[in-house]
This record gives sequence, C-alpha cells and structure tokens, in this order.
Amino acid sequence: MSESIDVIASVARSAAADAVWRQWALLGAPVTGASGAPRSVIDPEALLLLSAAIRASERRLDDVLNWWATTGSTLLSVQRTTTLLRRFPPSTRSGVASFALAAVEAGDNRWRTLARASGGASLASRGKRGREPRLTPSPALMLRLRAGFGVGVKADLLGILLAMGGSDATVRNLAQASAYTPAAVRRAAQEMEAAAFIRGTHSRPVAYYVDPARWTAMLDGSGPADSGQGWRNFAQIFAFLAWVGAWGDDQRDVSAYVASTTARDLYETHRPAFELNRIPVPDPARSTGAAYLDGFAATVRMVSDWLEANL
Amino acid sequence: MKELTGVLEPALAAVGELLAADDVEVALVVVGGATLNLLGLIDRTTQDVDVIALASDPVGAVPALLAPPDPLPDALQRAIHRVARDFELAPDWINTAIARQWSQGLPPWLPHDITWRRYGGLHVGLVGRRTLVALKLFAALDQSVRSVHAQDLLALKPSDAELDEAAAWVVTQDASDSFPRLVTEMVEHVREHRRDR
Repeated sequence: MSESIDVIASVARSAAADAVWRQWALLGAPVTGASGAPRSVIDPEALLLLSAAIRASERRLDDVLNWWATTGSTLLSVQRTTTLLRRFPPSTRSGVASFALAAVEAGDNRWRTLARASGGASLASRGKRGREPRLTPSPALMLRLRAGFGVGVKADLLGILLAMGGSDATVRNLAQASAYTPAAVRRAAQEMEAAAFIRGTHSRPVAYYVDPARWTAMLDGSGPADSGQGWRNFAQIFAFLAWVGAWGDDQRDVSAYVASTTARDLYETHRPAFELNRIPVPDPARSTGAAYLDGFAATVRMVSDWLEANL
Repeated sequence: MKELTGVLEPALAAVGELLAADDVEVALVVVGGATLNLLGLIDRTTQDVDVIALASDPVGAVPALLAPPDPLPDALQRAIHRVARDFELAPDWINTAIARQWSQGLPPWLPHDITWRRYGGLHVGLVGRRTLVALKLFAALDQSVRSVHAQDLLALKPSDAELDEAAAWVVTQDASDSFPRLVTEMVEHVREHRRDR
C-alpha cells in the first residue's frame, strides 16, 4: 500500500519548516520554540527562498521575513536570489516579491525589480521588529563574511571554502555550490589566489582550497571547521522540499500512477541535489509504475533525515 | 527494457490515466500479439502494441469510424513515452508499423469486428478472431511456417469457414501470379496442423 500523497508532502513540509525556523532562530530572528541550533553554514538566499515557499502554511514566517527585510536584506545577493528562485516552485515568487517590497520600503533599493511582482502585496507581518542579526555564530559565516567584505562572489567563495575545512573544490563544484556562473567563479578564484586569500592546486582542472588555520584568528576561533559540519548544499535540498510541498498540493486528486510519474519528474530534476549531498535515495528504475510512490516516500524521508542530521 | 506482456494492462491503464489527467480521450484499434493476449486467445510474450487505426466518436459505434493512426495524437505520444520510462519499456512500445496495411486495404469486416475496452482516457479496440486470422494468414505468408505469425495462426485453431474468409481477402493483397498458390499452401498447412496444437 503506497503512502498517501498528503503524508509524503507533509514530511517535506515539516522538514522544511523545522530547517527554516532553526536557521532563522540562530540568526537572531524574533522566534520562539525552534528546536536545536543548526551547525552547518547557512545559505542565506536558500533560507529566504524556502521561507517564501512555505509561508502559506507557516504564517509566522512573515514576521521573520519582515524582520530580515529591515535588518538583513543588505546582506543578501539579489542576483543569487534571482538565480536560485528559478529552482523553486512558482508559488515562491509572491513571497519573494513581498519580501523585496519590504526591503525596498526599508531603504534597500536593490530589491526594486523583484518587488514589482508583488503587486503591492505586503508581508502579513505583525510588526515584530526584533534585534540586529547575529553574525558571529559559525553557521552565519557566509553572512559574516558578506558583512565584512561586501556581498558578492568572493565573500561567498571564501565562506564555502572555509566551511569545507581545507578540502579543495573545482570551479565546477564551487559554481554548483554558490549558484554563480563558472566564469564568475573562475575569475574570482584566480584573483583571490593571486591575493593569497585562497590556494590553487597544480592539477587539472585546478581546485581551490583555504588553510583554515590562517583564518582562525580573524574568526575568533569559531570557524565552521571547528564546529564539525561546514558546508552543505542546502539550496538544492531546500528547492526539492519546496517542490515536494507544491507537488502535494497539485497531485492531491490524481491517480496513484499520475502522482508517481510526476514524482519521478521531481527525482530526475533534483537528482543533483541528492548526489551533491551524498544522500543515497532509491533509484526510480527499481520501481514499476505507481509502485514508485513508495520509493518517493522513502526519498523524502531520507532527505528529511539527512537535513535533521546535517542542519 | 522490460518485457511488455506482464505489464500490458497496467501500462495501458497508465496511458489512460495520463490522458484523463490531460482531459483527452483517444480511441485506437490494435492487432497482433497484444490483442491475442488481452483477449486471452493466446498466452505468449509480446513486445509491442500494434495500432492499426484510430477511431472517431462515438467510440463503440458499429461499424466503427476508422482512420489511419499516423501521426498518433500528441497527448498519446507524450503518454507513451512517459509510460515507457515508468515501466522500463521500449520507447515505441505502442507503434503504428502495422498501419502500412492501409495502403493495401484492411479486411472489409474489420469495422464490425471490434471489442472495446476502456482505460481512463484510452479506448482500446481489440479486433476479433475473423480479423486476426486474416491478418495472421497474410503476415505468415511473408515468412516461414515456423514464424511467430504462423504459430499464432495455428494456436488460434481457425475453423474452415474462418480460413476460407481470410484466404479470400488475403489473395486480393498481392497481384503476383504465384500468390494464390502460396495462400492455398499456407491454408493447407494450417488445416493440417491446427489439430496438433
């Protein structure tokens, strides 16, 4: 007996909600009840986008988004938000647009283009202002580096490489992780290597790494390499969870087979997310027809478990 | 690729569900091994579903209003490819290769010899014994008496009347002088061996 579509979608929504509340709480958002501080480096745009994707079922997130629009929007990359937004369900757009509108109203005009899609619809915030964002905990590394060096590809590359704790990564890997283009990553990495901020291998393709010890003093010994978790490709995983939630809404009234075939589509689209994060989800080719719903349910559970263990 | 026979009905049902989800209905007439299996006439493996015609509304009318199946409707083609992926079937597991027969002519009784099954938005017309015997006799003539078509014909155990009707149609399909003799020889072969099956 296949698990119901509602159950599968609710597992994804629950995992998504848990992740965003915990990450927002660590950043100092005005929230209560988030269980357990995250340890991996927060991907700020992925956090914004997943929050926008699930705000319909987590209404209090509008308070958080409004708080972030007034206190932290300048630490976000509009370009990266726009790029990653394409990976999320269309329903995410309205939440991002309302966030952008709030950011513009708070004085951050970089968000004006995205705000146009809001049609004037603002966040349903109760006006909780909250405190300034907390940028010094190790999971806030990327935001901290942006606050220190400016929002852009170089701060993000440094954050990703620091979070990798000395492991190297090719331009292709860094482009996947950062959502910047390979050309932008290559140019930035070459300049950062010339400045001795990062190091490059002599192999082909060249891979880049940092010596975390060199940065420990500047980061007050609280670098992510010390916390044990480091970098995870949350953007891809968050997009998958958002799509599973949307899939649950769209497929509620269809047959088991039709739901299963669209689930296969989701698997195929998001397979890089599983591979990048080494999540060994079931191969749909091992299930025939509607039987894949069970495999998909297992996939969503495994992603949820992975997120719980790696957040 | 998986073998079609074991998943034939679920695969057709899946196509029908996809069509229904798109609010589309398609009626097609099939012949060959898939029909033999679906009608329970012969239990043998089959690799594909041979579509010989599309039928117009109203589905189930007698005689059926038939048309050549090429090209298959877009929604049906999408569903075929999707089900091929989901059931690990060949991409052309439903195909229209047999539709070449339209250029030579179909058995004239075919529009009266169809049983319909519905799978969601997919209506599958299964031709009856009269048509199957005729098409199998014609196909067997192109190959040896050991071919799958000849074996199917023997397994159908056609009556003398069915063979006579089929032979009368088959001889109209080829104008060569030797063709009637080949038809007679194949009919005699079937008459001789059908009781051995």
